[in-house]
Amino acid sequence: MSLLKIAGGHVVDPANGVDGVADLWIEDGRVIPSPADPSTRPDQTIDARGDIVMPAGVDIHCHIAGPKVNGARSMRPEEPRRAGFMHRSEIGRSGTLGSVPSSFSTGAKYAGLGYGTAVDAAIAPFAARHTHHELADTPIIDKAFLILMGNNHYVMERIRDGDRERLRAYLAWILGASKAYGVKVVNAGGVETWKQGKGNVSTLDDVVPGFEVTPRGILTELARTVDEMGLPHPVHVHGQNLGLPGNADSTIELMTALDGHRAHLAHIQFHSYGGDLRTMDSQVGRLADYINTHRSLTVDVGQVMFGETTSMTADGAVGQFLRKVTGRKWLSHDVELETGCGVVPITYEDKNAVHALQWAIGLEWFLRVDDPWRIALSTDHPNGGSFLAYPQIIALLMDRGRRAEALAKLPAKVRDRCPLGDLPREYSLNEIAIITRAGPARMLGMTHKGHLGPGADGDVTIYRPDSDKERMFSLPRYLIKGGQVVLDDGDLRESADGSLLHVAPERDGLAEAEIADWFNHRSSIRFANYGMGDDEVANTRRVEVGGGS
Amino acid sequence: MSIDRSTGLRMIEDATCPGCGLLCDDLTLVVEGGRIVETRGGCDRGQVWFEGRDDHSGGPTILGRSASLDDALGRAAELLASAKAPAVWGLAGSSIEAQRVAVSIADRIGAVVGIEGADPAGLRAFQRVGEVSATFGEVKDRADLIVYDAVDSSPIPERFRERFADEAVGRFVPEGRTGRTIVWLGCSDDPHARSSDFALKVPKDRQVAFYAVVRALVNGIAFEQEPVLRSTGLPLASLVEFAERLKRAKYGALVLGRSADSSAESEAKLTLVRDLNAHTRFVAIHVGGLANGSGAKAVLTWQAGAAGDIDFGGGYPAHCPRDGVRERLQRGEIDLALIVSNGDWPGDATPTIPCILIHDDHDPSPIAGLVEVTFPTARLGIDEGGTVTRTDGVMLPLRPPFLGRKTTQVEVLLGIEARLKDRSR
Ligand code: SF4
Ligand SMILES: [Zn+2]
Repeated sequence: MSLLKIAGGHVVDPANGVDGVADLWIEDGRVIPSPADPSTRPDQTIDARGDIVMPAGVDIHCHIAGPKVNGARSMRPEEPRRAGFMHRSEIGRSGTLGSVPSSFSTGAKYAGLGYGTAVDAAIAPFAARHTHHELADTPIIDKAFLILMGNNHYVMERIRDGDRERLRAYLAWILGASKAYGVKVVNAGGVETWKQGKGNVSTLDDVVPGFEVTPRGILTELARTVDEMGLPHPVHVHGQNLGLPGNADSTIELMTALDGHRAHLAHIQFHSYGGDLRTMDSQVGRLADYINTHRSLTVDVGQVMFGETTSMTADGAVGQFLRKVTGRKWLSHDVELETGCGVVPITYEDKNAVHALQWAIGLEWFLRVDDPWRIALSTDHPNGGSFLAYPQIIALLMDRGRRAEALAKLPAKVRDRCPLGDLPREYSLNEIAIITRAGPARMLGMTHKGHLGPGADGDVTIYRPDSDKERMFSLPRYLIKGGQVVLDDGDLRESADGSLLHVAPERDGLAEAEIADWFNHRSSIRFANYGMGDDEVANTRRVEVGGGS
Repeated sequence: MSIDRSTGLRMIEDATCPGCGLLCDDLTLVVEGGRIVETRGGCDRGQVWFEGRDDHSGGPTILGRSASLDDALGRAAELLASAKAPAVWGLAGSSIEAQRVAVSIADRIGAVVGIEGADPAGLRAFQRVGEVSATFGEVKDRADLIVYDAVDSSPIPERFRERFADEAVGRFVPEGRTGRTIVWLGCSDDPHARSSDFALKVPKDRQVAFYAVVRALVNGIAFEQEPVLRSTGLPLASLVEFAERLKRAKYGALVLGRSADSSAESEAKLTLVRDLNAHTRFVAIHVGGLANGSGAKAVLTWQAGAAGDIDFGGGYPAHCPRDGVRERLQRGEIDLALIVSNGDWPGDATPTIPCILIHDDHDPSPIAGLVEVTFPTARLGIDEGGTVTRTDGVMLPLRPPFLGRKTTQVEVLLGIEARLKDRSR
């Protein structure tokens, strides 16, 4: 039994409508109501008077583990040479920094930023075993991952056949077998088309060669099935034509197609462009309007920040496109039955009108979505930039003067083609708490995260107020993770293991026998060796699936 | 697991074979008493792995004398804790679980880490240009053209050809062998050359020129006859035909055996494959190597940022290509080695520095009798489990039939680590 009291802080807990001075009590890793007995003595007290107390941050979309991330590390030994290292300490392992930090650095740096949970948004189920090993070496934070389903052969075949029952059985099996958290769709059908050397799909009604399904069919059937299964997180979508000027039309089409289903649209910034390469402009206005008026959709931004980073995606076609545009080294890896993967280093430059426009379009998104619960902060780490840039983004959102200053330094075109400069909105602390923790937790269906009501995980960040918001959010004073003080007055003091959050939908043994047969004929490995054994993953924590219909 | 109805013997199905880096996971092990009496589905090498003699060479030793596990662990930790310039070497025959602990120990004691059988030249090429690759199943499903590069006579495992390539039936190659064109690069008198549709004899020392010219042809550059013949040893026409064939493929695979290539040679191959993707789909596929060399690279990469040659000496993981365990041993800069391997190690045949050896007791290491502390351990896949990684990055579980009867590598490494932790308290 351990009882922690965080005394006298200004608690910002938007999910519970709290924004004022209060004590917070945590017992055995969970928030508890303040004890009725005034003589109750905590084992430990943190004096938070004058400080801001928030739930720990929740990253809804990042790339932190698995063969794609590790391939990027391996291909880019120059990154730590540029960005440096984390030294070994009494409590923690050493590591590398840069756009793709090593696993130990990733956990420690997220914790140092006041984050308690991160969700890797693109893991091939084939890579689940690798990912679990790597996440087990990613300390402190809780982790989860989404599995890539939008170019999966079995999925496409069942959708082609209209066999909803088998589709559902398959999702139940594969989510459980890979110990994943949710379903991701990356360029539905487009990656398979590209893997065949047949270009790409560009509309929702193109037909995927050899499978006779359309991206629309894949998206809507997966969205429906995820809803019916009652998964905590809706289908998480990376749309078509990522990064291409003029792609906003297909984004509207995508939103319309998903209407009526719950869906999360990832790194929406990369899908919000008008014009062509020469005339590219922002189309956030009409896209944000759509989001504002359709409550079943949520987005994360994928903010671009200037500097060196590494692009990585399951959209193999995008990898090849970026290789062509940048001329830099390129890692591509096709994963049988499931997906592709592309990794290319990229440098976002403020002198480059396209990059500068991408930066402005990301910020415009934050300012144009009226309801902060529907938009989450992300850089699509490391695609738009490192998660370590979050404090800079927060500062830009809270201070329009800072935005104007940054915007003034960019090519004039940007001001003509994106109305960012005309948007006076400034985020409040409460709204920042929503887009960095309360909102993403709610989108993910993690009812125990992102808030500080009784029963919530004891994941708490304490900031010292500072007029320099970037400094304030870069250097939290405390991170309490599961009731344990991990970051203590700015120093990492503990390196606990975080949990692996996953779902385990009810499975259908009969259907699985058929799936096994299908798999054994097609895969290069045996079905029996595909799923994770029960004892293969430590510190698992199962998140309930809500019955569904 | 199941029981054979006629013999009553225990059968382990879908067992993964650590006999080589291909890690076939479709074997059936037939078990009688404490022995594997039959290995179904594997190659000869796999059979030897599972059915080979088991020396039972006894327990740990300190300076050649038997010692209790506890004493040996204590002595190992003492040596490691007091070393000034330690090395951790081997790891390619260990599970991911063991590798994770070994690299953790290296971090703790500030060691330089080297992976047995690593291909540092290939790694440098990859770090320069990247790679376009795929899992083996993509070759099976899609490849209508397979080019085996056996120029340096590195073996292409037969079971790769059987399971994923030549005869294999795939979604887009439903005809199997007739749907695939097989090209063999190597010596034309090689028996494999005869089973292929085409063979080209590429002189080993002309590989860079050969691949560079083919790549240039693929990219639309024209050549004169004579300089091509001079630089590659091959007539221009055959290279043009080869380049056209590559471009015509729907999905090509360049299959590379375990390579002794220079970094220029590796780079020439990777860039050809990369550039072919401007015309069609093409992937480079690596096969062979030690059981879990790919796993060792993966672990070192996620823990320390690079796939080989890491120096933890400064308190952080510095990548030290061309200045790894081998080079430092040669310069006399290593004062202690933790060796996790059964193979030859890069130091003196009779080690002149104290060494701690963790080795599979089925076929003892050549230096087993010559080192300070030895830990004979279980054999992967037989009495030690865990995870192993194919050269295409796919991780697989092992199914050891006799778990618990011998001390495992993971147990030894965890034991050492625990004692090191205790010492630093
Ligand atoms: S090819 Fe390698 S992995 Fe496969 S059975 Fe033979 S030795 Fe084992
Ligand atoms: Zn992403």
